[in-house]
Amino acid sequence: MSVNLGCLAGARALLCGSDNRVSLYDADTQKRQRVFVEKNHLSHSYTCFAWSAAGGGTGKRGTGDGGVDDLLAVGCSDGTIIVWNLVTGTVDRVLGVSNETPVSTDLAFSNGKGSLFVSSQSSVLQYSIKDGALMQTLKAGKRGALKLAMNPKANVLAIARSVAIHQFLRHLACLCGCACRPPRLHYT
Amino acid sequence: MDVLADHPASITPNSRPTPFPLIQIKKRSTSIKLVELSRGSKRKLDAQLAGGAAALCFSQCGQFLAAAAAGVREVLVFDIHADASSQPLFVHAVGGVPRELAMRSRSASAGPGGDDATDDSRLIDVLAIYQDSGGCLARISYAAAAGNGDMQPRVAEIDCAAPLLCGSFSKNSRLGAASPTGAANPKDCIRFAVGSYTSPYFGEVSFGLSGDGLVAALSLENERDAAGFEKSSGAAGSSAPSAGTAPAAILGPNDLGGKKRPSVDLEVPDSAANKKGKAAASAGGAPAGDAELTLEQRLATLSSSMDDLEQRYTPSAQPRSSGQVTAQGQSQAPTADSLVVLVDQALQTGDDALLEQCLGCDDEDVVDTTARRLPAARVVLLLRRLVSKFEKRPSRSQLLTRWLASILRHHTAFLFSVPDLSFQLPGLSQMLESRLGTYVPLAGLGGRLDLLMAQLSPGVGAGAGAGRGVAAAPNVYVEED
Repeated sequence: MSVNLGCLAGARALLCGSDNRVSLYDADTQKRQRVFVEKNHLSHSYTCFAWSAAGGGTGKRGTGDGGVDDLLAVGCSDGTIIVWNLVTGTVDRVLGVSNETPVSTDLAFSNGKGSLFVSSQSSVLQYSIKDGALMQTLKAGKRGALKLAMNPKANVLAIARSVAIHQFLRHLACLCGCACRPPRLHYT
Repeated sequence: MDVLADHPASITPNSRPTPFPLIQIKKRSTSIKLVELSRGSKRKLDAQLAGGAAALCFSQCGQFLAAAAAGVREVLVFDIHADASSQPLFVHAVGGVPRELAMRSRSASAGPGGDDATDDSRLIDVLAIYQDSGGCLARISYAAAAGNGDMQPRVAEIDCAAPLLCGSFSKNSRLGAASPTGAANPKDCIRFAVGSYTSPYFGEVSFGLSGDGLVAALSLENERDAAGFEKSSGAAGSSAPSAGTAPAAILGPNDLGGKKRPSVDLEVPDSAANKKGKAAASAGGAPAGDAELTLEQRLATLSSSMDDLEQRYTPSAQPRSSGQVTAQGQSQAPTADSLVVLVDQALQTGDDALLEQCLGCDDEDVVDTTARRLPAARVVLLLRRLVSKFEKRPSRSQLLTRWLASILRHHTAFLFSVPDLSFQLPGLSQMLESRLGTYVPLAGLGGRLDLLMAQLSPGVGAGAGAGRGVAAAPNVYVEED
């Protein structure tokens, strides 16, 4: 089932309901400006999304890595990532391969909006928005990454990854205040 | 949390503790890693977010990082500068499980919107939106020289009966000098969206007070009412919209069914003549019978009732289901030509007994009409139920295949648009394939049996070895010139 996604950036808002229709609203006039529906939009569900206008970066045209304004990246349940160009209202690019690429858990645009970071249960991938090529792969542990966040002022990416922590309790008294002793060994 | 017991242990109070491992506890948690992309250097923050991270966001100045765990009601704030500790700067317990975070920081001495990172004293505002409705706003005073944040942040709970969809800090506020909440600092504002994802309401509310203060609480319902937002007519505090004002919701890929249908008044309104009769009876104090009416009055009553009947059963362009309300507000009498209402109700509530009653109908016209009027949202669900019943008892194939054939015939276009239908209804596709595979041989066998029966038909009682039996009486045709 699609997760409901919503994001506010200034006077504009992007909302995506369970029917996989992305709506662009003007928060000042309360009116819906555009609706984006991809072909076969009911064939999969959306897991996460990222809006280039919502980040704290400059988002200016002609940045060093060739970023473009007003992009919406949506992660699908079949592993692909759809990048919408909100200016033209068309699908700019589809990243990943359907049913082969791991399902993305979070997305984050780079500060120049020229690349997109995609986290999954295996690693964090960086794709180029311009040509869709895979730029680099960041390790995120055995269990992959859950959330991403891009620092708007520095070229630093925060990755929240899932790990397993083993704790050895040497004294049960630390937990419940009672002491314990080993079982008795019976010799026959 | 998995508990793996190495070996059983007994617990006795007042015993001398022995230093050896007893229980190994494996716990899943989330850590946060910072990666500098230009140099590739990495740094780990000691987060230990139990259950995984639900939200992660940087402040606009880039110095602070906020994180929230899934299923845990707390927000962690880190200082990510190189000389800062990897421990969270602040851990704040909130009133709900956060699913979205927004954070900003500004200098305490500068005005609102100041972003001077060189000042030591900074105000950190954290907006947390809960998984259920509502959220909270926390303001933390952080002094880098002191190396410690304010342990008692100022918190304002955000109250909203409708679902709070998203929110963010507003840079350019539309509010004037005086905000609705009475806050004296109108530039400390948050924009929010409440309601449903198909019909949201956007608003702005101020939360700051003079002297870097914070309002005690925020109620987004007041903002909606002040803007004239359509209010639900339910009980106070109810967040469910009324049936009459609920917007149309588009069902998602795996959504089945919508909201309950509004109850329709099926009472047949009294005709004008009956009302007059009743008024006369109530005025006269005695029941008005036909014997007391004149012939003219009886004729008028009869003609008005005939007119009412004609109006009620006038054929219209679109077929109406039984019990629908006409344009004049009068309800039609329910008809027995389809069971769509009962089938819909049975599927909605999961009432198998009611569904069996509906499936027991053997009238082909009723089955066909029901299948034709069945809502598209119920088609796949009814198909699943029919296939499951077929698989349990194949002896009911004659009855169930009639329903299946009608549904497949009337909703072919919709079924073609359902993605992966063969995976959603594997039993149906297997059943059709197996029966189609045996259809040709069975048809051939049936043909051979028909041929044999045709040869035996002139003398069925005489048997096959009796030779030619008694010939049938010839048909006599009389030709007239």
